[in-house]
Amino acid sequence: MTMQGMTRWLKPAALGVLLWASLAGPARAADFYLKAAAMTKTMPNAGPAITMWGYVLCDATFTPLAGQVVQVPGPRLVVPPGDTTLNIHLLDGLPSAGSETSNTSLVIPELPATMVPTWTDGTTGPRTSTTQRVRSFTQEVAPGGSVTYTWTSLRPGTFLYESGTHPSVQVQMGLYGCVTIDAAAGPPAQAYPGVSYDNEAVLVFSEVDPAIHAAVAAGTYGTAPYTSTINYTPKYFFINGAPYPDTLAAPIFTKPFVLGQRILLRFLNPGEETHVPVLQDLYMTVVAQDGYPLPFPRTEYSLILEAGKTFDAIVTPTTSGLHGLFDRRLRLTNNMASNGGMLTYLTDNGAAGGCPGTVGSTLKLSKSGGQILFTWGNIALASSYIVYQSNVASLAPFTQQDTLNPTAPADGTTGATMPMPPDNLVFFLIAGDNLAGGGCVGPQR
Amino acid sequence: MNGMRELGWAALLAASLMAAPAARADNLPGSRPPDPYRSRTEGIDIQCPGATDPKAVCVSIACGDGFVKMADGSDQYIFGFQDVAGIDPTVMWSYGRLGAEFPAPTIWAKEGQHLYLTLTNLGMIMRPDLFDPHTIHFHGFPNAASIFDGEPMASFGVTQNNSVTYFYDLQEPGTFMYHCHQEASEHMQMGMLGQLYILAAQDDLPDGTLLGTFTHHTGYKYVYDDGDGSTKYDVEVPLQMSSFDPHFHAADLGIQPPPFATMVDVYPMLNGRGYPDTVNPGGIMNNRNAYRSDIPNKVAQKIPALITCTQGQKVLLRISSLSTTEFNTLTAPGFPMLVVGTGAHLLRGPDKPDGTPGKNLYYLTQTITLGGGESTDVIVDTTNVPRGTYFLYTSNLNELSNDNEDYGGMMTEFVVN
Amino acid sequence: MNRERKRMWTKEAATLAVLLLGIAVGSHATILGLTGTSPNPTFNFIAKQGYISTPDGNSIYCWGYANGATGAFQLPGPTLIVNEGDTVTITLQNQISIPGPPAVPGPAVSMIFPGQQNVSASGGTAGVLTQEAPSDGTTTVTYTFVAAHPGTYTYFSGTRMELEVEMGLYGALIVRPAGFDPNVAANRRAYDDPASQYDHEYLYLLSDLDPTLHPLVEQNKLDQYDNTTFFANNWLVTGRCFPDTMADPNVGYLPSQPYNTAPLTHPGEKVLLRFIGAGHDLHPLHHHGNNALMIAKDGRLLESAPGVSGPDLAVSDFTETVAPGETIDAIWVWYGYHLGWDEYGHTLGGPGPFQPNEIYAQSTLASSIGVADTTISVPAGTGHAFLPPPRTFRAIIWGAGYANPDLDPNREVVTATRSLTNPDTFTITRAQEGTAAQAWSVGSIIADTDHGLPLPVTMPSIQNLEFGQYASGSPFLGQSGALPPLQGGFNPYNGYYYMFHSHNEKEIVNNNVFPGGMLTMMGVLPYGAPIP
Repeated sequence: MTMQGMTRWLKPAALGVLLWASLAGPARAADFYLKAAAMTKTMPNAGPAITMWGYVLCDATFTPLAGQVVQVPGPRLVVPPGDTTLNIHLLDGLPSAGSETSNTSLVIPELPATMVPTWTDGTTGPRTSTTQRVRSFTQEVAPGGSVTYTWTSLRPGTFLYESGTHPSVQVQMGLYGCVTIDAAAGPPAQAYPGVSYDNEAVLVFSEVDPAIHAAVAAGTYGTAPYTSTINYTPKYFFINGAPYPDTLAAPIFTKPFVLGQRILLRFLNPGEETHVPVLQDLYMTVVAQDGYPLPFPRTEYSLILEAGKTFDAIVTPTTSGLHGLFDRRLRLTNNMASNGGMLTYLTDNGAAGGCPGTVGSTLKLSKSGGQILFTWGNIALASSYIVYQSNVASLAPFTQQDTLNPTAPADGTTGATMPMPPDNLVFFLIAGDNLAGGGCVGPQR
Repeated sequence: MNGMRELGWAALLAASLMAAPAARADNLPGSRPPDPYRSRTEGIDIQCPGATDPKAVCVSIACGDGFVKMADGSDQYIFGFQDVAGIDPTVMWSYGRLGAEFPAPTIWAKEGQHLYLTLTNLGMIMRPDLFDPHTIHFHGFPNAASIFDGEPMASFGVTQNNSVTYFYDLQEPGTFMYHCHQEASEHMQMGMLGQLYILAAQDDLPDGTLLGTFTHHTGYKYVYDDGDGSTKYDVEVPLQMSSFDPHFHAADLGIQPPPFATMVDVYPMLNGRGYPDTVNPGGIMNNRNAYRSDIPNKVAQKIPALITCTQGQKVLLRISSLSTTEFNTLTAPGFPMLVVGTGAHLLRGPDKPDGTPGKNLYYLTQTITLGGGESTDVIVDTTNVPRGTYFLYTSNLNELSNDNEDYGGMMTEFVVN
Repeated sequence: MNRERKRMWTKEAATLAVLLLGIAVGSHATILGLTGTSPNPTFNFIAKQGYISTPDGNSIYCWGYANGATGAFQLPGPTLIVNEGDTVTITLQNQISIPGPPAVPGPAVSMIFPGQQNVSASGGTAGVLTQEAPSDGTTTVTYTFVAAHPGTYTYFSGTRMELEVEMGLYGALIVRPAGFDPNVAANRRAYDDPASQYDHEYLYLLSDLDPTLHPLVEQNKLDQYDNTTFFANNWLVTGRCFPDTMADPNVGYLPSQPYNTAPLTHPGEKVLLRFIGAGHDLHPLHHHGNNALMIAKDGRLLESAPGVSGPDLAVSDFTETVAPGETIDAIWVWYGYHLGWDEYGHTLGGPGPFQPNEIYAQSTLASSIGVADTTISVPAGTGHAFLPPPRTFRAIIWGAGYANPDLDPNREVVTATRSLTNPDTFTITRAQEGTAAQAWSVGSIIADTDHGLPLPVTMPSIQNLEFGQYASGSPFLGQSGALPPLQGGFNPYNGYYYMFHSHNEKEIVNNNVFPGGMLTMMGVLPYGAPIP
């Protein structure tokens, strides 16, 4: 624990949580407190509620911070540039899972660390027989206990953090997240020395086989038919923990999308399959993988995003429009249903190039009499929607602005209104509990 | 499977005859030399020129069937290769019965040598009804000639009780593979898969030779002729990714047609072993005696996947995949991997017209992804890796299984002392 | 170091290729497709349904893009071949009607074009990625874009892709660079860079299909269609499974699968392989015979300075990983270098003729040598083409007045090693293979060659072997030999054949029949043999 001499504050944002350190110093440490616990994720189209294991960001007493809930992927951990030590304090709040272990651990595959394995016979340290099998790649913790993992060889990059315990089960259950370390805070921030960006999006690709989750939740994993995960058959395919259309339920960018600006796409795959994200209408410049800068950047529209991989790519959209981003391995269903899975958009909502007004053909925003009218059709009605806003001029991070309870206008669409903000250079995204799309009201032109 | 093969070839003939031009243009260009195929009729003929070719290195490999044991204890019937160096042809059949090994014996040679590789087909002890030919395909050999490519559609397979000697002038160092290419979908699933490593001639430079700013010393080893010492390594470890479908193997043992259409691998392996057999530094004894009471058990899995080194050493991982079904990704939390070669080539851009080397494309990574028939050379510099035990495993995490057994599969350990 | 890469890269090599071509025939295999009329090519596509046949005897219900009202259903869709800078317009209508029972209209379909920027779409209805054409047979969606960059691209449906791509709605798009001319070697390029020059080009559009899913669509049982359990049993190259890949294009018995992939070349000629991933899975496409140099991905050269450096980041490999949605351009050349024996079966002094690819590296003596000298020098800057030290290579020295060593009765065989410090100085061992040491004057030729080296091993009797269909019966290029009955027969010019195939070997079957699937045979034919 090296909180001494540091000032920290938490700034809840639309995407994960950003931690900022304000004081420069020769040996700064970033400290994060995570609790691993169970949660439930409901699939779209009246799909099943799936038990998952995730992380919640806590204070030093492992009490969840305000507004923080257990989430999959876990909260993004932002290590301030220049910090030389990363401490992750982990409390095991996992439920009992029958014969399956509820002990857990945490690794960052891309960062060197001293690791002492724990074997399935419960012993730790060097192997003592040829029949031992590893349960945890590093020190594990039992339910109710906590442990601190420390990394001192930090470098800039986009990294995974994930369970190092029985990963074929625990990573599948959802114990993964993203760590980012920038080379310089900016603005503009630098992801790596010389790689500047104006805006960023974290894109975590993962899959779920509900049968394994059900077996773990029921405490029957380890008995037939789920004695191993060899017959893994994923049915749901997530970007940032949600399948399409729920991928649209929160902004993927940390700031408004402005044409001509450099967007850093941080791709991560804690899933078990290779995915091939394809960008529609755009090329990206791949600058790093696994937090190692590439010796020469590559320009491509597709990326072979293997299991356990991270990539950083810069994309600079210069034209308005709906730029699809989807998995060309065709993981584009929610179970059997079309129009689901690993699909989202890079949209230029509210950007200098103009506001397209519709996204995914589901949402329309218009200005009328000092009000903003939101209308949307052909989707299931949700009980509430959330409006995020940011200011295009200041490029501030998104903040939650309002909650809307929609009504049904006469034309059969769904709609709601909110007061027009005083400054019309304001950017919105809307999200709901069952939802929808994003939209914007752009600058007047 | 002979029956299915006949069917396949018959269909092939029927389908392609229409496309075949009628005329053969023999002797294009030049006149025909004596037909070399007619000069030998005996079965086993191990050709090794000895003193008449000072560059010669001779390897004698036999192929047939056998058994291996999976990490969950199950027996798998295999087709495979075994080393029969020095075995007299008159006793080779009795020596080699059910002796197939998995992976196949690793073949080592040095750039500049002439490899005389003799393959002897011993036939199938458990399947006397089969008379499959076999081949050795030197996978990746540059400028291969069809006759020594071991791809039978363009050349030939060697039939049972006979041998052939393949010849290779080893021009390029690197991490190659070899496998039987006869009815490849079956014979490769059944285990006829091995490694073939060509060591760099740069190893043999005189002590003190300057390679740019790097000084070579006797005993230094390099993956490639890098010209700058950048692929120097201290410890070398083979890692062959592969996997088995037990239903397919059972069908072959049970005299059933090969079930290509349902092939699903459930034993993911490194060097022919699932975890934790991968870390057993010894061999794995098979159980063939249970199938043929007159043949004692044998160590048929001889290549451990355990990686051990001393902190500060550079460890060369020669990683290749001969999976017959899928791509796999390996990951290694805690230590970086520097990729210096792919496809048995130094990872550099094309040389410039003036002969200066191309751009260095080495890159650091935490993962290696290979499909069947792909190889890569990875150097792990352990200078900054804390002493301890690390794990190298597939991030296709469901394949951390030995079929229905958990805590297994494609995983090994990397011990830094 | 890396000899074939060096050869491919250098301008000298380009010159050499031109020389070789002068000796070879003037034909250059090209890819079949629709070209439209530059600079505003317009294509009228109609999504139609039909059946493809697979060599295991199956007939599989598929969907595909057809060329206009009169064009038949085809798989893949027409290969579009346009020119850099063209404004490309594609109209799309949809006539898919699921047979059932009950018969129902098919879903809306669309087209997306990864790698093309500023694609405009109009007409039809809005879908998740682009405008879509409903299956009314009349609604027209129009896609327009400027083909701004040369390269290899793909198009496919952007609607319910897990269904429509599986069913066959995909194809290839090739953009020729400005100044492209198939009849002028220097302008026969894949990109705006001389390093992308080639002699022959072939399309490897790789796809995979699950034959259990297609009847569900055909029978209108879409409620049972589950692509999450996709399990391929047929693997295709540009719409066909081996051995159909090797049949002629547009053969009558494959009415819906017009494109073949039956590549041919001569030694030393550059073969451009255009790989496209069009299915679900990644495929490791292994090319026997030699490594290939991957020069581009996704329609962009692999270069450190785009538009300036040329493909200086190109990578040599013996297997290309082809992922769905991506494209790869690779150049494959078979030189026949350094086999350690003469692939033509020649002996020193003939009979010949001496073939162009028999010289691996060649220079001249920069100073004269006597019969006892053991060091030679070559003109500055020419030595690096020879094998680097400490490798030793066989070389022949002959008089400058002779076109090749066979013609000089005094030729001398030596073994040579380049100096570690000066690439233009060699240490030689004289008078090898029964030749006599000679005094050689300035300008005498020294070449690294296997010319005249005998086959080092004795082959078994043909009775001990089982030959394949592409075997010639001879180890030597352009020669034939006796074969057992029903063996060989598909190699009329006695070339060397190389399997280009998925190395996930389960993918070279047709359902339960081996061989098949994602497999083609590349033929390296002797000089003079025609290439269609």
